[in-house]
Amino acid sequence: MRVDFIQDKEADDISVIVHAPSRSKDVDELIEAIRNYAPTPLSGYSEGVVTKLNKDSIIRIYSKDKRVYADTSEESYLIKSTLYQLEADLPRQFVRISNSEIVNSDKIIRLDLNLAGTIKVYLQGDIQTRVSRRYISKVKEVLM
Amino acid sequence: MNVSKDLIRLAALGFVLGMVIGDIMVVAFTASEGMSLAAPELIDEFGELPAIIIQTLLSGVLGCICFGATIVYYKDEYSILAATCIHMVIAFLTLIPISNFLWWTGRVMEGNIVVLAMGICAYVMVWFSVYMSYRIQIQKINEALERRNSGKQ
Repeated sequence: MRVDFIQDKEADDISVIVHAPSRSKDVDELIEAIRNYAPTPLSGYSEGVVTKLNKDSIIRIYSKDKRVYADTSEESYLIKSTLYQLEADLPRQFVRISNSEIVNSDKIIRLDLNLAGTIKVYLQGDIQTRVSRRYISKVKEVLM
Repeated sequence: MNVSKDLIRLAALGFVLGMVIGDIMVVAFTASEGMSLAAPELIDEFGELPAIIIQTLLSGVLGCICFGATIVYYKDEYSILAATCIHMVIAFLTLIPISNFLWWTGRVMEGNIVVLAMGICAYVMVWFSVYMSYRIQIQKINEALERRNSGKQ
């Protein structure tokens, strides 16, 4: 695989174009990896210790009492960023499910709708939380 | 979502639609008795032109409140069932006095019971169709999750 760099002073942002003779599984995986690339590491604070969080290990990120937390299967970390910023910076696998929560779509086990019309999402780590109806199309977009 | 902006937009649309639908329904219901633009009793009470104006404006108010109240469906803190029940109460509290005033119910108990029964049926259908649309979406998402999770194993 050849990697080239083309300087474009008029470009607003970094853009990547994949050239290939045809669309294949390898090409799809490469595109997905590029899409999921996040240049800034996420720092989590727990008991005064700062930890560089592996984004793949994060189950969900949520706000509570005006603070933002990230849950992994081992621990819950305080994140010094807003959900809005995180939504923009995190890889595509992270999807907003309500005004106060973003989940890692790779950690979703299933969704459930009760008769009253409340949507619940079951996540790894025995976590269950509510999905806003307004965001269900976004979840669908990421997973399908 | 800008709630107040959406509320104004929905209410304005409801007012226009309410006026049109109200008049069309009265024409349709009175078609067998020689077609009228307002209930004959309302015309007897106010005269033809004022009766038509009153009916058109009140139909608009009804549409405005019912359409405006659909904003509850955008409120995520309410489940579909809760939003449907809240909307139903708001709609009935508006519909019953207006439909009595306009003689749509004949100002008799039976007329009110018919309006209530038809309204409840309509709301059951609304709740069911909204519920089913989400159920289908969730089923598709769960199928995609199953495919994805089985591919990882």
